[in-house]
Amino acid sequence: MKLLEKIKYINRIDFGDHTRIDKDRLIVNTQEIETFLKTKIDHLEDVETKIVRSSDKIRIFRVFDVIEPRMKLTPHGTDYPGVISKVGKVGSGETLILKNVAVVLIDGKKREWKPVIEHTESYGDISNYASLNLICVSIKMGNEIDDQTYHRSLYIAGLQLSVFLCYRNKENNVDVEDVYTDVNARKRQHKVGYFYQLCSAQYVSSESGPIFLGKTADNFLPIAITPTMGIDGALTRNFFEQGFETYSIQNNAIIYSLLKDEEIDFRGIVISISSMNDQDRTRNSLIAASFFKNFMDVGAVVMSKAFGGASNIDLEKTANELSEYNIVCVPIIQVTSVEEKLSDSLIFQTDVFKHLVCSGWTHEKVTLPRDVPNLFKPETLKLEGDLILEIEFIKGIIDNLGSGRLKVVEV
Amino acid sequence: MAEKYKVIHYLNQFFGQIGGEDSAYQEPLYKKGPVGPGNLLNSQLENAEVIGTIICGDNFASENPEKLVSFFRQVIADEKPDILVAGPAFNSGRYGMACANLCKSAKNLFGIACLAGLFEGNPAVDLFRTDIDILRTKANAAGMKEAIHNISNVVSDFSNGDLVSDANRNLFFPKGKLKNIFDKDTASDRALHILKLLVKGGEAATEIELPHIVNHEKAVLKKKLSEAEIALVTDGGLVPVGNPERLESRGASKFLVFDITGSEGLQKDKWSINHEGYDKQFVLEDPNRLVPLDALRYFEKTGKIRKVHQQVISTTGVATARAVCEKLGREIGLMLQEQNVDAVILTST
Repeated sequence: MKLLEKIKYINRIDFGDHTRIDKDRLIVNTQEIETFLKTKIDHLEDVETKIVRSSDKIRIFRVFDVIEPRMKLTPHGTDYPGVISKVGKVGSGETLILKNVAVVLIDGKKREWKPVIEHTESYGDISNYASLNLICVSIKMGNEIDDQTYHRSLYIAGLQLSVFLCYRNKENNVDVEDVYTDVNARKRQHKVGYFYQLCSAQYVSSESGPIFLGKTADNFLPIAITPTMGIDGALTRNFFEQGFETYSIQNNAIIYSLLKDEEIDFRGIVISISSMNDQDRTRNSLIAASFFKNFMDVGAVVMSKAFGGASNIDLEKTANELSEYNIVCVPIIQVTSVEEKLSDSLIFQTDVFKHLVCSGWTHEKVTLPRDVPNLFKPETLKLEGDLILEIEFIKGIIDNLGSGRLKVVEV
Repeated sequence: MAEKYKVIHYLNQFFGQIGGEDSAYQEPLYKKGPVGPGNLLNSQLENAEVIGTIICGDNFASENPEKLVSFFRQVIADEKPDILVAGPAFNSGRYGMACANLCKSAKNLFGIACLAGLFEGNPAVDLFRTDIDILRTKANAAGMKEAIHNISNVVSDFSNGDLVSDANRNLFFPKGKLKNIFDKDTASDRALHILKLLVKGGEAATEIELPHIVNHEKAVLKKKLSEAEIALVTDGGLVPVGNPERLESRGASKFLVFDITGSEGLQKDKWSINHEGYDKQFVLEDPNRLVPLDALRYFEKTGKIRKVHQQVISTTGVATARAVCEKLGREIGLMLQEQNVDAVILTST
């Protein structure tokens, strides 16, 4: 497999007469975007589009998802297969990526004001999104449209728009080209795999978004995929909170770290979901461990978990199976509540994990000052003082896929 | 150049060059400038200076802590220091206690930044770690050079009233609180670093030690089921409508007890769910799906069990730390044991 990522940096975003990329500027015509989305989505009544420049100080409410503009150049027309195009091959060929810019989807059905993007200078170094150029999109559909249809439409709108923006760069030069190939990697010494939990079944019983080539989490079994598939549109997001946005999936820090490391032969990824009963957990962990041992022959596995407590148990079960094969596990986890000792905050019932990486305490209360301008603030939210919320609801800080710098320490 | 921070150094009789055990009852005295290891400290300090040294015998400090504090008060009045450095006392028991006591006074009574240098086995570490900043040292004076080097770095970086910063926190014993900090590396970089050390056959430090898991023996019902009183316990967040006792929707700190005397089942208009960890719609339709009181009443009537316990116990089992779960479990167990309950049906989600 060989994937060529063609990267174009967008350093400024402006309104203009038609949507295009001019040197390092993305020019957006909101009317054009709205017209485009109306051709793609049934029952769409209205679209509201706002732009946020990288230097703008603003708080964006009701964030549903964040998407980095990407488009498959070759094979052409295989963008997010199974979701907005026919099921097809990704993970090889050429992909155009617009960096420093993202599409932010606003959940117009949500009655709550959380989550937010704190697009301010003080969050510039600690949030993935605080210094990006953003195109924020909120869609309105008829009241008869149920939540599931709304969220699917919103998500498809976001993916379509992100591809549309790339399409307007088609003739332009790119700034950087990165190649990922397994040919050189096979010469490297240390064979490593990645266990990637996509979502937890505890949140997906009634509505479920696409997670792999358009397939939802229902009856999902672990699957082995190539590393480049994991960053090239095969994986998309469940509609429920899962600890990461589409942007995180696209920029999965674990996959990129393993791909770029010159000592590691990154053999593959096993994608899975966390289960709701012991039978499923046992089945999934046996399958996952078998992939790593018998098909990839790895000596070590990095593990990441989906949002929720149940996903810890699946992680633990899979790690137990891997330990039977003497495969080393290094999971990245989060803690939800904190006690006096960090170890007391864990919910594992095993001694299998000798090495844990903790990417944050999700429920730490953070105060956001009231004097920051607002975007998409629900009318029901009256701002009479500072806002207090858990840090997990400030998007781009805690990322279950390893891009965040947060860690928890005993002080 | 800005004025340097003024440091007072505390030493015992030995490191203060007064004498050995024969001088352990030395009353506190004050000398201008650095003494003994204070000279090494002073030579490495930037933006700070050891302006004086308090020396006191270990026995005197141990038996007259209030007199030592009183002496310290006078030194503060005269010298107006910014920082107190106590020790390092390594694994020395009396000396360590004197250092820690003096630091606690410096911080609480006089509001002065302070640190003590101690070995982890020093009894003063466990007694004072939550009150004061204790810098880790080796067990004995063989670690003096390293300890002074670390202390000088910490003191040299002092600027905002707190000696401990994110950059030097690893030099100190934890104070029993947890907090988020931002590391220079991402979580994936940290994971990769650990993984590479391990696959190369080396050792790596974990960011979290796993807790010691105690496996309890399973209880065995020592009577026939038809003679048993059965209690219903759930971690599914069952609450009366309106949640009047404010059970947390996650990270529970308590459990609630509800009287179900005379109830044939849980009525949907009387019960609700306060739990963020699962899709509640099916339980809201029929709360007996979470807490099967209706089924248990049937078994009670048909003699399969002797009695349904008159109380249902509920908590929220999402994002609740293991240590809290253990505590709640122990309390629930003791309560039910006192009420002669024979067995529990524990329903989760």
